[in-house]
Amino acid sequence: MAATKPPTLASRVAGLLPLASGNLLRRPTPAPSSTPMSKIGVPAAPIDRNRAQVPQPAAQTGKGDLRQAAYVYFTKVPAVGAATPVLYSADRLWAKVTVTLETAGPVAVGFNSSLTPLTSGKGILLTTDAPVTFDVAKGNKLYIQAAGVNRVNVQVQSYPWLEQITGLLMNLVNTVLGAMGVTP
Amino acid sequence: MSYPQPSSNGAVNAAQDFFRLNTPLVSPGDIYESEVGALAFAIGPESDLANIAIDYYDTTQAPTFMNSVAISVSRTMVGQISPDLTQTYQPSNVPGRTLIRPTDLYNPSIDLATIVGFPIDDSYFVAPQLDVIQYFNQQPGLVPSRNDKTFEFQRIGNAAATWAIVIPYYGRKSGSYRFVNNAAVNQGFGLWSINYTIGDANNGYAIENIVAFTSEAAGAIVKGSIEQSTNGTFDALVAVVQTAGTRKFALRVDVSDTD
Repeated sequence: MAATKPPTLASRVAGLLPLASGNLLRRPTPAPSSTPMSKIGVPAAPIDRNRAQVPQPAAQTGKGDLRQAAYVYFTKVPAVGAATPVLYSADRLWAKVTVTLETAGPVAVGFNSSLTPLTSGKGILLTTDAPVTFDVAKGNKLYIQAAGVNRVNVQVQSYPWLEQITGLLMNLVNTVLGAMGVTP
Repeated sequence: MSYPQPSSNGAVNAAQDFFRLNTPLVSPGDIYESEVGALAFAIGPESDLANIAIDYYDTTQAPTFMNSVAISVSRTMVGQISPDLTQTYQPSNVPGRTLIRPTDLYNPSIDLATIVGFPIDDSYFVAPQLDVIQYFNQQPGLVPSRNDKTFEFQRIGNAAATWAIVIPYYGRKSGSYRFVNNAAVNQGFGLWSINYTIGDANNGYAIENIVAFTSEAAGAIVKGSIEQSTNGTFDALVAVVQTAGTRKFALRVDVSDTD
């Protein structure tokens, strides 16, 4: 019969954590499970569908969140009844989008899907060789419209930290509301 | 009009800052089009034509919605000209592309025999070159000028005949000609200036004689200069060469925009 080793001091102390919780006998909270997390930090499967939940900040920044892009967009001859082309869609991230018109234009860029007539003021008319920067919030789309063929340089720089700041702020608000006894 | 038509879209896709429409005229009614906006238009260096019109979509120009600006060897167009392919010219209902066309006349079907006053066996037209540069971005300065050009001809045809050679001139300020009879027998030479006008084959031109047609002896050289102050301005030179025997001759014509 094998002899049973007595528990070490370290294992005994580990079993008493966390001290701040007031329950000395509770074992530490296990590490987060491998529940799929979306990029915005909200669990893919909500815990309670009957309650609104505050998005949690992403624990980690994925490579995709830091991805940059630089490309040339060629405006096309618009077809009758065709939808306004999307220059950039900020589905997952905030982004800084810089567009530079390399041809004579006219080319209009804006957040309104209806940009025609181009001189109506619904979008910003680009000036040749003058970079224009847009901060595109998550969930918005940047549309582009032209009356002819043009060449537009596009640079996309992601803002993942904005996403995290938003999550942290929401977490702070949640804490304050909790301290006030208000259920979010 | 040359086919396929030169496309400004290709210049945009090829990352160029300009589109160069450099093509010979094929007919008097050649019209080229562009689907790209421009910040300047200017005559290109290889152009034979001196006056070119740019037609563009303009909402203020009812009922046709077409406006036009002319460029020449002394006048460029600096300013934004944009096609609007979402709109149409009226009443043709054609999309509002920018159109490029010569305003100088060209008629390769004129009756040259009537010009020179005696039968012409055949004629050879040097098609005028249409050279227009459409700039996509701002240019610090544009000084349009046509290159000086030299036209040389030797031993035209495969039999003895009377030939009319039509050379584009279009308001050049000066020129020179040199005809050499390299044959062992007499060959004829004469030179006319011609202004195309709108009309039929019998009256669609106005002519003036520069060098009277003469039968030149073997080895003879006929040379001289053409000056705007003396000979006026005109659209083309018509050289008539009557070949014989071996058809050996050399004709050189230089044209220039400077005095």
